[in-house]
Amino acid sequence: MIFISHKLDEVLQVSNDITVMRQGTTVAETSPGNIDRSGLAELMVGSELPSPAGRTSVIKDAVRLNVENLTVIGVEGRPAVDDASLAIRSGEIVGIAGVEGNGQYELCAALLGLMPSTGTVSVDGADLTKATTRQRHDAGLAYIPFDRHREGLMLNAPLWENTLLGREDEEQFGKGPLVDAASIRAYTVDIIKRFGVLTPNETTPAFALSGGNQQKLIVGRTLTTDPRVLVAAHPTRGIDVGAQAAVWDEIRRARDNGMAVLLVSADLEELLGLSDSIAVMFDGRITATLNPDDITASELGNYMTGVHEEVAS
Amino acid sequence: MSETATAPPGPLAKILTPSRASGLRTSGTTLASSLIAVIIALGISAVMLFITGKDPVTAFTILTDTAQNTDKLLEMMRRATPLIFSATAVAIGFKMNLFNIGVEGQYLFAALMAAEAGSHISLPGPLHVAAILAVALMSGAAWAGISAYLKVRKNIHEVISTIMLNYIALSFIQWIFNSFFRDDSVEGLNIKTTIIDESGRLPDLVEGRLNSMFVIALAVVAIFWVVVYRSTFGFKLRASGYNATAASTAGISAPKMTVIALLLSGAVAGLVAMQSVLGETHAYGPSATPIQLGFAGITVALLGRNHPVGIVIAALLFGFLDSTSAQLQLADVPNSIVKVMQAIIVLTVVIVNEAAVRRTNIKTAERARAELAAGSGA
Amino acid sequence: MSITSISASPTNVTLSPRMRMLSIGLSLVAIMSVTRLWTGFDNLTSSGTIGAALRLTVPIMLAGLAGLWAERVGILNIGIEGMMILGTWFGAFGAWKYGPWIGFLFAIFGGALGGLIHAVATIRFNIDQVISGVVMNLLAFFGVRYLSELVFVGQPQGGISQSPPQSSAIPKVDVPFLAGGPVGSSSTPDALGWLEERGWFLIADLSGMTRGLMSGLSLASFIALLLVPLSAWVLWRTSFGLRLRSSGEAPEAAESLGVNVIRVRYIALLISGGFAGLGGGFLSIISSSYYRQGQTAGRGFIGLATMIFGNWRPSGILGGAAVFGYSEGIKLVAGGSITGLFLFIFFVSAIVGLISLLRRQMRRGTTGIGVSVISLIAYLTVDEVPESLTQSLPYLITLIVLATASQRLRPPAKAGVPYRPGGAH
Repeated sequence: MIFISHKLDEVLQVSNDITVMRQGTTVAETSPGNIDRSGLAELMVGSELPSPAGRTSVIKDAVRLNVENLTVIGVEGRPAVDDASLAIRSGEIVGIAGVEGNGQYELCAALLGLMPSTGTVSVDGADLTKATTRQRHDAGLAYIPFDRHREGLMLNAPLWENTLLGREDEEQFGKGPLVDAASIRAYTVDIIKRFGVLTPNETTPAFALSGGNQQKLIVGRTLTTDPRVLVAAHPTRGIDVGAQAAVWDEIRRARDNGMAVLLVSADLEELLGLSDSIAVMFDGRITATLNPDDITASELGNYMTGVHEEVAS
Repeated sequence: MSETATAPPGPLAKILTPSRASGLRTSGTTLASSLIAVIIALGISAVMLFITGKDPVTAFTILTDTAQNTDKLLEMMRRATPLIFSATAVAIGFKMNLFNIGVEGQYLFAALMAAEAGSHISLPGPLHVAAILAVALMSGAAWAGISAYLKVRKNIHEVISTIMLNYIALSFIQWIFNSFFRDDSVEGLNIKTTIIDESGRLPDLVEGRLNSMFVIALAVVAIFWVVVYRSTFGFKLRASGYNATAASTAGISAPKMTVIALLLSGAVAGLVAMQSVLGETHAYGPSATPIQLGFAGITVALLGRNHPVGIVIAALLFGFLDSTSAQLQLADVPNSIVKVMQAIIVLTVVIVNEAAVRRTNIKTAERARAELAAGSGA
Repeated sequence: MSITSISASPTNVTLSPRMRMLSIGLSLVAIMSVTRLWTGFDNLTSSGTIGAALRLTVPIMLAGLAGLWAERVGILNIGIEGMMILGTWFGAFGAWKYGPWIGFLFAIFGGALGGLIHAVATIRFNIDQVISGVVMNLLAFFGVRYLSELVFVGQPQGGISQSPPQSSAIPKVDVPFLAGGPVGSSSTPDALGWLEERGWFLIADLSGMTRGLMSGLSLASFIALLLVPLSAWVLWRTSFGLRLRSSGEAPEAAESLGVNVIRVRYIALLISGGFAGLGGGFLSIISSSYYRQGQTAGRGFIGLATMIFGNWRPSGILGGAAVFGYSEGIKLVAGGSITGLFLFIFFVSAIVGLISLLRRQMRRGTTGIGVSVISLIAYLTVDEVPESLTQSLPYLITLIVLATASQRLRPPAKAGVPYRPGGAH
């Protein structure tokens, strides 16, 4: 049987022989006995294993994203987000841990103005509570969505139109009322190069790309706006290790330049590795705020399932 | 979640928004698949004629004979003119997956308003015509605006609201016409609004055969092309059609786009009967103003795949088919076969295109992978 | 996917939903009775009006059920109007040639044919459901015109836009004792008719309304009404119904549990088409005795609307269809009484508005009061609604009811979403 996966543990468990392929060519043949997880990952990526860890604190004092008493009423009429307050400083990554469906989506949607909410949201002191989604973008709030196919991409449109999505009102991409196609295409080519999006060219429709490359395009489109605050939901979900490392690097680089990040992820390793602090969401509430250096993945899991509860300090 | 290329979204987007990814190839495929579909549809129509005891050969001979007659070709263009407007109106909505079935009510309402307004004002030539056109644009937009309000504020699907508004328009028009706008000096069946002055008429291109409204129709299609495919607004419109969730996540306001798209669609719909009002009858009349053009516009838009060029070709094709109906009737072929044929053509075109687009998409994905594999060394 | 429950508007008195509906219904009849006594328009609740209303309710109800069967399985059916058109034509043809009962079979066949085309287009060829439905409507409209040209032209009183009249009709019955129908050869008293003529508050109205359902009742109407509980039973109480609804709520999950989603969808669309065709047949066999072009007059779409504000449930559809049947019935039987409805609307909206204000639902309250003021002014100033405007009444009501109801309804989760096996999330 041939088993194809990018989940390394699975591959190591079920296979007798392992063939590692990269960009269409075989780069190594080995067996589970001769290699461990990180070695396999290195072969797949072609360089040293990327790890989300290796954090150096670059936090400054200025609060960039300030959220107070945010409440979102969900479809069932009860709060999906219940009185959440958060403050993220310049250069800080705050992770949101939680079992999916505990209000993470609603939190992000409310921050972006996609769902009605009560409470206040401000970026760099500017009150965005009543702002539209577009006004929030213009104020420097950027978003890597949960589901790239549903919320992020126009799958049938060429990549350059996907880059333009959300940025079509920027002066650099317009000629009066018309779209400056040459400029946005050149811009897209830059993103493709800088973020390592594997694609024949910028006119390829988005559906023809692999998930990782679609994600890299979204990250590129988002980070090249130089956001002040990034809301990143599962930025590396369902993509291969190589793309994962590239996305982490880019987020870290922007963070180093002073961007504040709200990171929602189901990947505990990613959360523990990237975050400066982790807020746990359970049943719509922020039930704990933890220091990733003091906690293991399994302890974090206990908080997520509501076994531990601790009032945010 | 797998790492393979992903399936594209719902079929509506596929049909309504031809990918410009590989421009020439796509239009080639589109043209070829449309041609095949038309041929299949003609075949089905022939079988229908045959089963019902009519001779398909006679019918098709009439079609080909008609095609060689210059007068008939002018008639084709004349009949195509209102279809171009109504199809463009439908296509504007389609670009963001809004289905404006209310063109019928919008254009009849606009025709009445424009004809009545035109009979009251006196302005020098071009201005008079421009004023009438402006009234038509605004009335059509206003009637469509009701659906926009119901959709955005009351969450009523536009298909239902525009259909209901079609019926409401018919009785509302009848009421205003009979109570206020009717020219009482005219008796009998040919009741109309007051005839518009000479200054408010559009000249014919070919005397008695083709009105200059045809040129305006082509101009509107050209504007449609620029606005939809080249402007920032058009990009937002198409983005909302490609993926409404992604568009609103990106900050493109869905309610705002819905309102603008429906208003624009209604405005263009307002022009549908202007050939009749400005060039032929110079008035509105229940039996003088052509009906059912709104529904025909839906088929033309679908056949033309909502693309400007496609719409013009499709409108000409349908105009041509319509122009043959008198000849068919003379030869004892029921002329309603023309309409049946049109509906079958549309259904087969939509089906064949769906299959073609799916194949093209698979090929595009494969080609992208192949190109990557070939270029990975570089 | 989370299943949202529809929470009823908060109320202090807890009544079972059935009791609640009953009390609301009774209150409305009482208000109608007051309106009748006030205006002297006895037609508002007369058995004649209600009888007409029933005949006009049935086709819309059947269209609504057609929509229900399609959307419950996950397919939008905008083509109901077209399937009804096929039903009117085939029904009239069958009834003209072979009598009314065979006519109904023809009508069902015609509608199911439309359903099959819609099914092939949307399921087999995966084309957009709205587009297929709209094309279906056009195809049916022109298709029957073509057929008429072949079959009806040249027949006595037949033509391209109408069929020859049918010679026999389906028998109508009066219920004995209650509506004065005969038992054997002897006549019985018309108890409800007697009560109705007394004109007493509420009693006369209830009697009139009940008598309307019991006198001149066509067997076909009776059978058609039975289709409501039958649909409910099949859809909610049988395993086939469960499979059908799961195909509309979560087709992937259904498929993984062994439901053949594709086949279920085909069957449901055939049934949907059959219902629509039957509704069309009702128009051309019961409501009149011949086929006429444009006979459906948008009832397919109104049926869809009743399905929406009937919250995709058979009983809701029946209720919605009754509202339309009534508004058309009153238009037909007692056009002059329509101004009385302004007073009725005034009473209802004023009461709803006041209750809402007391509950501090300010927005709803002010809307209610606003509507009541407008309808009172209309009642006091309008002597007669022009005939051309009353024609638009059912369509206006559709929009108004949808506008007030559609906020808190829940359609089947996957209605309109094309099903591709294996396309999770």
